[in-house]
Amino acid sequence: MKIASRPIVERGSYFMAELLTLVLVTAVGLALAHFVAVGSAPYLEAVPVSSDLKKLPEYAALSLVRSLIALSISYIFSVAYGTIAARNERNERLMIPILDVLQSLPVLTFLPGFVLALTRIFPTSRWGLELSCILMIFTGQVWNLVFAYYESQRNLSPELKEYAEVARLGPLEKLTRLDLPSALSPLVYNGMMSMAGGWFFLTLCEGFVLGDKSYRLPGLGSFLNVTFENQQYGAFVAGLACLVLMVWGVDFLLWRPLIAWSSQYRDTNENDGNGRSLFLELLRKSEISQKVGTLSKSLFSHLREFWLQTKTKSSLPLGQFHVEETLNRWRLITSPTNLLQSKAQARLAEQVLALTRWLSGFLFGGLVFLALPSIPNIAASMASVTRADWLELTNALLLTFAKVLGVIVFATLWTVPVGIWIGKSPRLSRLLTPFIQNLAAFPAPVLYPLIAMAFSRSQMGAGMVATLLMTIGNQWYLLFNVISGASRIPGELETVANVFRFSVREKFTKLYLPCVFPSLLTGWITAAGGAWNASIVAEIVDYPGGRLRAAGIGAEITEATTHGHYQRLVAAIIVITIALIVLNRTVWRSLHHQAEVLKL
Amino acid sequence: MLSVVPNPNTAGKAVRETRKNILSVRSLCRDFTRPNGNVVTVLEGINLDVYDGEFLALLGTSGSGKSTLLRCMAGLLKPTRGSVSYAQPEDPADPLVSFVFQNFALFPWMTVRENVELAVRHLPKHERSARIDSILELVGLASYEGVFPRELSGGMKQRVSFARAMVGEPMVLFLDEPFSALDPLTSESLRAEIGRLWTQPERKIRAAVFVTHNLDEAMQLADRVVILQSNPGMIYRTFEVPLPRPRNPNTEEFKRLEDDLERLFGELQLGRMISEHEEEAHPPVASVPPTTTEAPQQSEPMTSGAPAQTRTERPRRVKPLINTSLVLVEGLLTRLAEEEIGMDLYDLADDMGQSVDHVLPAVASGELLGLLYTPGTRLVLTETGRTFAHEQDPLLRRAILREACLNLPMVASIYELVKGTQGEGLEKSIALEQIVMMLPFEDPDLQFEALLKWCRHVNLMSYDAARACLYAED
Repeated sequence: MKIASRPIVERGSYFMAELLTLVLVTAVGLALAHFVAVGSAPYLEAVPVSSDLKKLPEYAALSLVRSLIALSISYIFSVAYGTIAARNERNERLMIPILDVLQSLPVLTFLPGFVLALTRIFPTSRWGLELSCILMIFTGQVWNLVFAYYESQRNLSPELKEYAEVARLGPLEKLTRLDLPSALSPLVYNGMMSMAGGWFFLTLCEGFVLGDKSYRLPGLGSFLNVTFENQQYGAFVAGLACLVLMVWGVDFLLWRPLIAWSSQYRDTNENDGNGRSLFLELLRKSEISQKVGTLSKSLFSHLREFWLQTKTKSSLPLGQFHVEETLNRWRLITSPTNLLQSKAQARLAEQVLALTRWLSGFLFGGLVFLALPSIPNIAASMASVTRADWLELTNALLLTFAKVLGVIVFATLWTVPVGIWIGKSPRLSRLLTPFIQNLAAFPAPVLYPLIAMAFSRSQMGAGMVATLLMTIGNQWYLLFNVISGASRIPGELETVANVFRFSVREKFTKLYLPCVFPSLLTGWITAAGGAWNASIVAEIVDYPGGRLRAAGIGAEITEATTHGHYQRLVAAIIVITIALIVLNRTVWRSLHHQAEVLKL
Repeated sequence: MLSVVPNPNTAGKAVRETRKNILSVRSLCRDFTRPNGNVVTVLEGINLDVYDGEFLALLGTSGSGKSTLLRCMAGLLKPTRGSVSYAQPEDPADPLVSFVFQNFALFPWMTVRENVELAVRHLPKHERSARIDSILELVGLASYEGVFPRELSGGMKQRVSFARAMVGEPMVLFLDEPFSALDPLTSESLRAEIGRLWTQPERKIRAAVFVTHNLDEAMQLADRVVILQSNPGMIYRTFEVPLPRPRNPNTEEFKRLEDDLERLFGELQLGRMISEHEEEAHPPVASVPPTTTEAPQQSEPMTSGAPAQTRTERPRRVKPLINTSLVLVEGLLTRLAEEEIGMDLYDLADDMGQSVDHVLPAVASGELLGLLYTPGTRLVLTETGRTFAHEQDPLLRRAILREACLNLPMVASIYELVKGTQGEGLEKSIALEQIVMMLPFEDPDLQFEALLKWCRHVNLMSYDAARACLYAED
């Protein structure tokens, strides 16, 4: 009976697989086509967004396409930036601090520049707005990817690098055979985090006010905005459901398969339960995707064959030969640099280096040349920021700093016990981790108006509510860091604690906390960074019939942008950047050292 | 006994005249700049030729720069001074070099076959697959070609690594301690296999250079052994092993050569710790080393006076510490105390089932501390050493070791400095400066590390890493 029924089940799932593949391919194609159509449509400042539920899939698709395009750009940027930074020390010394600064800039900082420049480049179509929206999502996604790639390149086994030299891998071969595969896992994991980071400002990126103009792009974020403003709560809830579905769908259809696929290339044998993806297994059963897979594989190998054959002729002869009489027929190659590198290769590398130097010099010079004449103007206009303004901004900064501290205290208070409890049970953590990851990927700011409205009747101060809002979005980082730390508490230490009859308090202070501390710290750093960024959307929240305004630097930045006070915006950005860099360099760095010492 | 091998260098010369020189290293030096800006010379004035058909071993203890030399020869590192030259292969398109790493260096994201293929990817497809098939067959990996490296044992991984290195038929094959990451049995079988592969008549690889710290490996595989001395790395002696393959360790000839090599290596190691840096003035004399039977007789009066005298005869120099744990020294002393008349270094190593280079640091430390002395390759306890070994009270034992440490000028001077701060603690940077002043040729960080190890062990000083300060124990 069982034997007979199996093939039918198999056939059923085969059919499912084919169907799913087809549906997905069609959906992606349609979404892309629609995106292109929307982008090429005539320019409109604020595209009307209907609250019709039938439009919802279309809007979700648009938001998704934007996010995916931004993610692709992020990947390309990370690989390029990380490679250049990791390759030599001089670049590194300059590029990593730059990254530190850029990372700490809030997303809104980039907004006016992108919009003003790009709408001027594309005056007739909507591409300018679309591109600035994509670039804004990109700035929310890219930084941790760059750091992850850079770290993976720094930690690349030196022997593998040496072998790449011995095997004379060219630059492109080295990238595809060594650099990218070695960074596969971090790129996938951080891609997942980045995607969540990009969703975070979904509503902000799709509808924003800049001076006297208000811009809007069709998408799920603006749908949520509009329906909430118009108090169409049914549609709003539907939008939220759609958002949840989208976050979950991306996780199921993109990240789980990618993680499962990348884990087979890892160096270790350990299985952490992340190696399975239903969708990937289904996809592997599908005949269509198999056919496509084998086809693209053979195409790829043909291309590579072709490329290698062309290379064989040009690159193999060795470098300079020096004839020496003592060894009649045997010729000598002196200086081993040309031993592993052919002459042509060496020349190419030199040219590339010279070109990049020349280009970067030119770019820098051009920037200086362009910026130089406007420096007096900028200085003059910055002079309109009075000393009182600076004082106000500093005060706002301190207020937001207090809120960030509040976020960390709040979040730590509940995540540490809960995280340890979950992490210590392998079953619970396996069960809950994907769920928590999805929660973290859900963009909390879409809920802010709702929560702010709910709290508007209570007696709570605006500052407290804002802190609460900031906590909602950023506690998850702490939670899953604590879980992963707790899951690594060695069982032997636990036994020792039992042997010596530690009390519950002693267990916490002597065993759990020190074990969890390094990962807790990573969580703190991420959560604090996120909280600073979230202050922009959490300190001013509009809801029908009211507005939450908490004093703080985020509110200052938002107001400066919406009112078009660009001098004040620049001043606020200067204040927050300096504060964040100082914080990074002092508090976080010293805590990080502390964590390194404590690491098991 | 030694007259049979009067000078290995001249013995091989006649044969070598007729052979082609395919790689030559000329006055090669290599410096490294440490992060703190100090320049350390790792290799100094290396002249070396590799001949056609030769299996050459570079033998030395850790820190002798043998891996650095190998990487310079393979072109992975650029020498600071000097040159590395290769003869051009018959077909200029043939690869010159290939490399086998200690830790395999296989790409974890490629299967066995893909890893091997990487070395011959430029060849036409049919030739490529033919070559890969035959090499996988040869090293016994034919049925593993679709497997990822993580699924293989260490020995299998190293086989893949060998296959990858040999499939391209390079002119010179470089091997960086290829067996030391493997367990003894696996390493034994792999060595035998390499020996067999080397005797294959259709072998295309012209020469192999391999780095090892293990005398057995060198004896089993090499045609010629180059012994390196450390600090800075220089060629101490070359040693021919003109034995036919496959080699049988039980033949007279093999045993005699092995004894000679052991003595040469032991003399180098033990000789050096008595006269650290002195061979800068007097380079190692190429004279015949004293035999094991002669040596103990020369300094036979086994009182502690004799070695003490020899020590004071020399100009008193500050000697560098040896970065080893004193626990090992204690173990060594305990073991030696069981023997009335001392013990031969190689017997001791055999007895403990370890290779000589594992025992040497402990021996050197013991000698530095005046707990034992070494006539020839014999190890004999001094009076202090004997007292220590027979003492049962742990506190007294520690006190003896502490005394011994304080007799070292460097330890004493730094201890004085630490005491001079009166509990404030001595900053690490000041201690480092003192070390540089007393031992300008040594790596100060390593010396500091060794100082910490020893002083902590004998409870003389403690170190607070967070404040980077040294404190005296009461």
